[in-house]
Amino acid sequence: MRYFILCFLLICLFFVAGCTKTKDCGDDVKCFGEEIKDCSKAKVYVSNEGNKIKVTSKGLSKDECRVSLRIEEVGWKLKEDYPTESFIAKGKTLNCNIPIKENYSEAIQNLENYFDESCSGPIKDLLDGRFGEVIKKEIKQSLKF
Amino acid sequence: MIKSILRATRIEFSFMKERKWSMLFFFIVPSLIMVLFAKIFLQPIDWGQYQSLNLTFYDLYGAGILTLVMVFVTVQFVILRIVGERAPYGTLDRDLLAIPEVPMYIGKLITNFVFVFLQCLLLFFVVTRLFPLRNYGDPSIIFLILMLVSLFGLALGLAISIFSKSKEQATQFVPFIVLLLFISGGFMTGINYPSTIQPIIDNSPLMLANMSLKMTMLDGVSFGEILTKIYVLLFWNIGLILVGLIGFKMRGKK
Repeated sequence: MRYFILCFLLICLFFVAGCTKTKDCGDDVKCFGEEIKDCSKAKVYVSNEGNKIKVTSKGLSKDECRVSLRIEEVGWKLKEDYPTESFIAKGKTLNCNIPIKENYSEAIQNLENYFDESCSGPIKDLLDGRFGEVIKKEIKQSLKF
Repeated sequence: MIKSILRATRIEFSFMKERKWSMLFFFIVPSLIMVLFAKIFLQPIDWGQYQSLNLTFYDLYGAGILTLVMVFVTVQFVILRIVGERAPYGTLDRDLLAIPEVPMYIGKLITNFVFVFLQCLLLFFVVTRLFPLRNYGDPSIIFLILMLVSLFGLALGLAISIFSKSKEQATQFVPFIVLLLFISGGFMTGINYPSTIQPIIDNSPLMLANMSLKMTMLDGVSFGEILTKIYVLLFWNIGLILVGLIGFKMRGKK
């Protein structure tokens, strides 16, 4: 039984050790703008007309800055104009690996330049539909630091 | 302790080796079910919001079927492993004279877990290469969830086997438990559960696994987003293993 408890504690330790801290900027876009300069791990919630997007910087990996956007809420206006697309967009993500070595802040503010080559996820597929332009606009607005 | 575990592992391994054809069938059955499922449901969804993502029915229900198949197969795999070896016809009494209950249980769990690991590898190959399910997330997360679900199935199967008095009773439990897991697993979309049982449903093992898989595969979320669900699933596994261990220790030589 002692070995079993020891193994359990080791597994827990392994899981806890694997999770490095991501700075939670809340809804402070400036704080996120500072963190993203060197691609530090941070997250921020940005809202615009009821649309809420979570932007997470996941840090550097193989000289690429990993950034993820998740649509947390879709505002009533978009829900009214695009009911089916709005329903499916909620909770979906866009994962981008930005392949540059510096000036991440600027790169992220021009994220649309990287959509085709460096991004993947269900939002990218939604960009091809009639909802695409709206999402692009929302992303651009939400990434002004 | 380690010696006893190794001994129990060897006994379990010999048991499996003797039943090679039955083992082979169990080994391929989850993959076969997924292939069958892919062959039938690989057609685009032409209704509602899923159209904009060009999803097929296979993509949409794949996560749910994966978890359900793995739990059902692993429970079935070990359901008779202890009750079937009990007296008056079994070998358990003889084995327990040489190996205490705890190492015996751990030995059985480890051997079956290795088997299930290989089973998951094959299934993972099927759903990522042969008949790929739509996946926006990290494929290794899919494998991890499959392993956790399988471990849950093993722990549940062994626990049922320990607490059952006869083989008949053990097999009677299976459909009842699988039905309960199915109802609480979130496979039926559009159903609102009563608010009093919603927290239980939200934390039921199959719901956690199903939601984690769906969020990873269809929403493309990262591991951090499903970490809480993974932790709860892990605690379900550890809890069931402990229940099985204690039950086995209490009932071992009866």
